[in-house]
Amino acid sequence: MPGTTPVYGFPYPEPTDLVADYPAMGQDLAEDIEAVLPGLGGLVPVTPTSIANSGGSASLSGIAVSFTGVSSVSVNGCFTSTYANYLIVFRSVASTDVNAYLRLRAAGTDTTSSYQSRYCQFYTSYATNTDTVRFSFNTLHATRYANSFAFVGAPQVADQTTFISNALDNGSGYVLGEACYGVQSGTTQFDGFTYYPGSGNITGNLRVYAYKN
Amino acid sequence: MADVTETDYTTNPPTVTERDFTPEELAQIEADRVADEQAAQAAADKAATDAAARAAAIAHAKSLGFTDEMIAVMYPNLTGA
Repeated sequence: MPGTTPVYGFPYPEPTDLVADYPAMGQDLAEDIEAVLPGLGGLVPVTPTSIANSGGSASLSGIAVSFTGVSSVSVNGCFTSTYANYLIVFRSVASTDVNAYLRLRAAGTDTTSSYQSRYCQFYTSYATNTDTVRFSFNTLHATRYANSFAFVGAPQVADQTTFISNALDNGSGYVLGEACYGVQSGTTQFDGFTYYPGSGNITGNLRVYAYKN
Repeated sequence: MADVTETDYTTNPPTVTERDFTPEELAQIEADRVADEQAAQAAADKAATDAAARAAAIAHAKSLGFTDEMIAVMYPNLTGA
């Protein structure tokens, strides 16, 4: 009968165990390690259960959702009750100068109301706008990729969901900082989101991580 | 070609479903388009108003005898310096 380690319960052979039992024990050990590794760090990689795209193409490989020429990409089953807060990392380029938006969704349907947000650009002066039907958080351009990231707070709690983002506006001959601070003030328990441009299409990738509780 | 392609990765191999936009989705897409146009117009209007205000402030400063160089140093937000 194999022994088990005190913290993670990894199996190990005892002197009385048969050699013939070792392959199965080795497999158990490998699978236990594979299950534990993602949770060792502060960020836990999240694999969505499904994705949807309008136009172009999109695919999931590991935790990376890649999209090419899409007018929207939806990520489902990435927010669960296992973790409280999440980080989404984007890298995108657009077919034209355009704002990028994010909407929260549950069971495959976007929520299109009750957003309160403030979007700001930082330059020598700043411009702000508010949007009540989505989070507006990044200006994208043709040919120049930009990175952005967003903190999504408590999407699976039946209370307000918070959204805090930081983004690069990689313009032609200039760069700007952009920030969006917002809430979706309903009590829907969201399990995903849709990322889309105001017009044209976008290409790039995104990854979702959960903050370890 | 369908409007939406949905890929379910809980099956092996993944299950791909194609469908058209629902009436609700079509209505939201149109509402978003209108909202984007209104936001773009509002931004353009504000930019024009801001530019006019800055031009008026610079003209006033010059009427008081300030040079371009003095205005750029004393009021950098007007000139973008």
